[in-house]
Amino acid sequence: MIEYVNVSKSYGEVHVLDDVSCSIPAGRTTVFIGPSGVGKSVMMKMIVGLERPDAGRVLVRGEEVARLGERALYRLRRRMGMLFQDGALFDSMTTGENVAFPIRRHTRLPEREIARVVAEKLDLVGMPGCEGKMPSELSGGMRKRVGLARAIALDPEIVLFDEPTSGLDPLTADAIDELIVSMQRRLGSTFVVISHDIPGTFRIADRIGVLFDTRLVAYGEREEIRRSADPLLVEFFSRTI
Amino acid sequence: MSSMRCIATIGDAARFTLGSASRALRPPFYVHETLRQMARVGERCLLPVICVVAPFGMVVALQGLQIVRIFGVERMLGSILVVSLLRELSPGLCGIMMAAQAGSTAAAEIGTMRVKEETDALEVMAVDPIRYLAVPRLIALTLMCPIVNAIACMSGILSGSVAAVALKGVDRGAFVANLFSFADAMDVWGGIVKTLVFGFIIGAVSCWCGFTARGGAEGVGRAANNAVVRSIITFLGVNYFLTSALFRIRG
Repeated sequence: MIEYVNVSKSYGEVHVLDDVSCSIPAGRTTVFIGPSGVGKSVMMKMIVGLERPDAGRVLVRGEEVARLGERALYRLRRRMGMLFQDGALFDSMTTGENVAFPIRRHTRLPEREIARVVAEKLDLVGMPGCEGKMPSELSGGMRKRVGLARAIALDPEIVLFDEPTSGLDPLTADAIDELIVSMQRRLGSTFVVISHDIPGTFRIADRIGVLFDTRLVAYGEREEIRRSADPLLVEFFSRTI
Repeated sequence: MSSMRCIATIGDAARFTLGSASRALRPPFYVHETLRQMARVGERCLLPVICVVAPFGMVVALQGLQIVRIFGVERMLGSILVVSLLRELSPGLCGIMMAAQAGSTAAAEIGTMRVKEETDALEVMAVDPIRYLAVPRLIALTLMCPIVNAIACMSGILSGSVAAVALKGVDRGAFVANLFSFADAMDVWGGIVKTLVFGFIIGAVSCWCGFTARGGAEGVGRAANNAVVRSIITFLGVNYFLTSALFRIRG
């Protein structure tokens, strides 16, 4: 579904990714975990073409993202949804208008049908009946839920999560993790998650990639990673497991 | 700022402006958003622009009166008032106030959306942020600048007339009869062209400042400040060349 082939990226003198290669399977949840500043978000933004690799290729359904023209890139993006760290909701719009935004832009559904889809998606993320609320009235966890409702509004094949539990209290973080698991089962889409929350990663992931010091030091099935005897992974996971 | 960096910045701004202008000519057109932005620009700018241009009209009348009295041509005061307002004062003041009001707002709004990843969210939702955010603001400022200027200019002429006739006792008949002795259609068209260009520059510079905002609240504040200063400097510089061209056309 998504492939990284020898991907490297630097910002001036600072290297963030070095020769990263991996293949993300369709219909499963893959979590990339690692300390802050190792290029996790950059890696994910390459999937949607918000960042370009300096070397190597990022392929989505066989298409090299960096080589796509504007139209082809937007066509590809219509099949994706992304939950940003703070939700990235449009502050000037209500919750309902936020969720309806991609539907209005890319479909010709009548307003009544749009309202039905919005209500359904908000219900799905545990926020029923909050269409009229402004983003400023929502807590951090609620903003993420609404951001997720907007990300799945067009039933995308790929859903990307940028630190979905960062800045949340443990209970809300657990609730978001559960939401991700139930949503993936329900939609069957490919979920790619960037996180530094180790317990949460083991709750939601089917596959785990560990980024450390600009390199992908481990990538495999969840249990394989959990049982790894690699001293680096043992040290990285030991504090919280 | 080094000269190379300065040239790169100007090049970046020029590329952004050309990209925005070319997008404005190709579908999809966000008509509703453009009309909404036009209404906002009118609502935010009209009163402040009038509040600046109207007192200026009065001041021009008072200053002009001192001079025309020396030469004994008091009846020409109306012409001086109208020509100075139509040709330079009203378009210039209107541009400065619109940069301060609407330009800073556009830069701050887009800058906030930039630092809060809302523009990235638009990209991921396959919506071109320049087309959706910059183009409606660019069109709104370009079209609203001449409209606001026209109303402000009338307010300046009216207030100048009040100052001259009602307060300083200039003969009303002579004042009104000579209002348009020197002004012609070219002055009106010149004002329209100037304010269209000023509005376009304010829109382009402000949106570009918003899109290049970085680093949280401080970055947004800097973007809004840069939008005002850079757009005023740019359109006042361009104004010299526009005025030269208009004089050449006039012959």
